[in-house]
This record gives sequence, structure tokens and C-alpha cells, in this order.
Amino acid sequence: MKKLLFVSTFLLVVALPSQAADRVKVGFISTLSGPSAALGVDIRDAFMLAIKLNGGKLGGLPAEIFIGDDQFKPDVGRQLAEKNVKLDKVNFLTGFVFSNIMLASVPVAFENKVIYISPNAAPSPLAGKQCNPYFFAASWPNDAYHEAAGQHATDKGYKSVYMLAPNYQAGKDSLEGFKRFYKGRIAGEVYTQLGQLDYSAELAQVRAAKPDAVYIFLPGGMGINFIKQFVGAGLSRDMQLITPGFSSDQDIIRAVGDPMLGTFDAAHWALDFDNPANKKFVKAFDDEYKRLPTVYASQGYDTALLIDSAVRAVKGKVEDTEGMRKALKAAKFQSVRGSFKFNRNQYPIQNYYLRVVGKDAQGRLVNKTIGTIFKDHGDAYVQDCPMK
Amino acid sequence: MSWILILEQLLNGLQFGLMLFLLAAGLTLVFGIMDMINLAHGSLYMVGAFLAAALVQATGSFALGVLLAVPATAAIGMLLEMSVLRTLYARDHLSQVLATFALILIANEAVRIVWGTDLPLSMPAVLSGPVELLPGMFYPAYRLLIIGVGAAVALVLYLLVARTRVGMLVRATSR
Repeated sequence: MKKLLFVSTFLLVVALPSQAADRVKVGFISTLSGPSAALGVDIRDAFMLAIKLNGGKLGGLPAEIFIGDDQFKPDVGRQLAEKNVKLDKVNFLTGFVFSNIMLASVPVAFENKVIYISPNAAPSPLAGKQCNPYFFAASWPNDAYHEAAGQHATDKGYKSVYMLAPNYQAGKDSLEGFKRFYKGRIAGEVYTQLGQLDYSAELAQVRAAKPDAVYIFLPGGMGINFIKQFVGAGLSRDMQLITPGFSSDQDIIRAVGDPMLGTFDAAHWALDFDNPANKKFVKAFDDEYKRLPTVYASQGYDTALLIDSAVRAVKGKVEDTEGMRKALKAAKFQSVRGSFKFNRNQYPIQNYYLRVVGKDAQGRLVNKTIGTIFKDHGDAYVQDCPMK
Repeated sequence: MSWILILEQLLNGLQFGLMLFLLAAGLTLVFGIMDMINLAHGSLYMVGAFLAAALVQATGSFALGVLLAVPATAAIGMLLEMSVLRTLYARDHLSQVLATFALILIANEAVRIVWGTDLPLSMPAVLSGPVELLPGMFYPAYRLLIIGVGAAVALVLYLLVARTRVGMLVRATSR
């Protein structure tokens, strides 16, 4: 027995060093099923496309990606995150679409000093008081699109706006952001259930309130159903619908169709951006997947490029978490959105643009950039963050 | 509190109730006559919806797709009855619950395997706009259709059970 113990321990000790970093391991957990699956699928497809265009490598090392489906459930997301961090020993975690699932799942990464790069959800608590050195937002601060939309509503002079958002962290952030920059009268502020697909009761109240415009933050399947029901109830003839880029992007356009023409929205990226990285990305995505990418896809692609830049900066030594953190903060990569830099709370500082849904040269429904709302815009929570 | 708001919410409630009735009517009939709890009833509902969406995409016509989906779902229901449910009639309720719960899980995954997770379905233009019920009072055409269909099904079921020979047999065997 003692001999067996000695021999097995010796073999184990000898075997360990052979696990030196010969590849980059990334845990990718996202919402890949259910009414809002289009978002997670787009992020995943763009992320994998970036790696494929890079020869299957990130920063010069072969990439091993563990893909998981959180099924829109926080407990499933958390279980997958624990597996990725503790069993698969990933170097990076990424992928979550929804803030509530992400907030439930990333603590295990922070506790184990694994860097989480968000290709989407970036809620206000992590931008301010609870900012964390292992959290990077490659997308935008949650409030940003809504602040831009609020500014646009103020610029257009709408006297009253009725607002709807789902009742979770990102929903609350969204309406707070809109109110921060909209100076008119709020005709109503309603939080619906996350995942709700039937808005008949809320639409009856909107009709009774008679606002000039309606602002919604309803991503994925929620937005598709709301917009169809909004048009079905005849409300689109009486009031203007303003949305953040999430509720007017390609996934919603594909499902709703022509009723979307003329919808204004605010976002940090559009298909028609003229820089070389974006032109390459849009064409490659369209060729590979036979559909146009959404903002979510652009964020997934940028996340892969960001990880690539970090691994390259530490010359493949992925155990050097501190070195990779510093490289990520420097953000030296060609983003498809143009210029990119991180604020000290590791959330982006970037421009936000006004878009309108129209037809492109091939007659497809797309978002066209028609103006800039904010330049070099950060977020409202950075002053509470103790990080340098 | 305007009367338009009250009327609209009443119609919303009626529509939601009739939609639940359409689902529940079949379930109560099966439980009342066969004394069998079929938890997978909702799964048949789901299969019917997916079949309708797939057939609408295949035929290009909304009406044709929906009409074809009815016998297609009935066929799947019959297959289910012949293979699994028939063995459960003689058993106690707990066995029926366990077996039909398993059917729910199988149906969920089967639908995901066959159609994936994204099967968009849009209504034809005639149903996707509002109808002016009263001057100034608009209500979505689609919801009015659900109210109409629900009320029609309720009427047909009543006539079937109360006024026909088949209905007499049903009433005789039920509890």
C-alpha cells in the first residue's frame, strides 16, 4: 500500500509540469436557446469566426474554446462557469448576454483570478462601487445606448415619453440612463417581467397615456413580440418608437420585417462603418453564416481580438494573469467600431451614433448611421470605482 | 380611468382566458373520460405550433399552413396514444404523471433537435394590423381572431357533447 502511494504520487508530480501552457483556454457561456437565442448565437458565431480567420489561434497559441448554453437560467450559467473555472481551468471566461445570469456566474471567476471579458452585459454595479480588476467590458456600459437615446429624444423635442424595460439589472440601468439625458416629461415608467412575450395589458396603458414617443429596452424575443403587438394595436400610427440599438438590430429586423422601417435607434456600431477591420468583419460574417451581423456579433468579434492582443502581449505566457490584465487595459487592437479605449473602471470610452432602419443597396433592411450623438462618452459610475 | 382602457383590458382578459380554454378543454376531456392525467398535453400544443410555423414556411400561405397543421398534430397525438398512452389507462395516477412528465422532456428536446431554437413566424398582413371596433377604439385583429376561434370551439364542443350521439357516449362514460 505504501509503495503504491509513493509510486502514484511520484507519477502525479512528474506528470504535472507537462501541463504548461501550449494553448489558450476560453470558457464561452451564453444564451444559445429560447426566444433570445439569436443574441448568444451571434456573439458565439462572430467570436469563433475571429479565431478561424486567425488560423484557429489567439495571440499565436492554439485556442481551445469550451462552449456552454446557459438556457437563459442563472443557475445553469453559474454551474457552467464553475465547471469552466475549476475543472477546465480556463484562462479567460466570456460570453454572457444577460446581466442577471452574468452577475450570478462571474464571482467564481473573480475568486479564482480568471479574467472575465464581457461581450455584452456590463451592468452599473460593476462600473462603480463593485468594480473588479478581473472584469473587462468589451461592449459598452449598460446605460450608454439609453443615454444616447435620451439625448436624441431631447434633441427631437418630444414632450412626453412612455418607457418600458424588463425588471432586471440591465432594465433598470436602461431607464435610469434614458432619464439622465431626456429632459421632457416621463408619461410612464413600466418594468415588465423578464422574458414576457404578451404585452397586451401594457399596450392598453400606453394607449391611455397618449405619449409623443415610446422608449423600449426589450432585447431579443421580447422586443420582437412587443414591436409586432405595438404595430398590431395601431399605436405606431400615433406615437414614435425609439429604441436602443438592441431592439432594432438584425435579429429583430429579420423577425419583424418592413414595419421596422423608419425606427430610430442609438448604438456604438453599425454595419456601414468605413474602417478596414469592420469591412473585413461584415463581409466574412455574411459569407460564412449567410446573414448580416448584429451589434452583438461585432462585440463577440472584438472580444476575440482583445483576447488575442492580450495573449500576444505576454508572448503566450497565459499563466501571467497580471501581465494579461495590463495588456487588456491598454487595448491595443483594431476594433470594428473604430477607436477603442478603456476607462479606469475597465469599461469603454467611445462614440455613440444615431441610426435609422432603411434599405441598403441590395434592398435588405439595415441600420444606417445618420449622426453622432456622443463623442468619447464614458459612464456615470466611474467616480465610485476605487481602481486606478 | 377612460372607458377605452377598461374595454381594452376586458378584451385582453377575454382573449387570454379563451386561449387558456383552448388548451384546457382537451385536457379536461381526456381526464374526465379516460381518468388519465396527461401532463404532455402542453407538449402537443407546442408541437402543433411548431408544425404550423414549419408548414406556413413550406407552403407560403398562412391559412393553408394552419389548416394542414391540425390533422398533422392529430396524427402525432394518435401515434402518441397508440404507443405510450394506451399502456397507462389501467395504471394509477402517479405512473401516468411520471410517464407523461418524461414525454414533456422528450418532446422539448425533440423539437429542439428538429427545428433548432429559432423558427420565426409572422402573421399575414390582414391579421397584423388593428381593427376599429368603435370610433377611436382599436384592437389588434389577431387577438379578435383568437376570441372568435375560442368562442367557436366552445360552442362546437358544447353542441357535440350535449346534442349528438357521440356526446351522449362521452357523457355516459365520464365521471
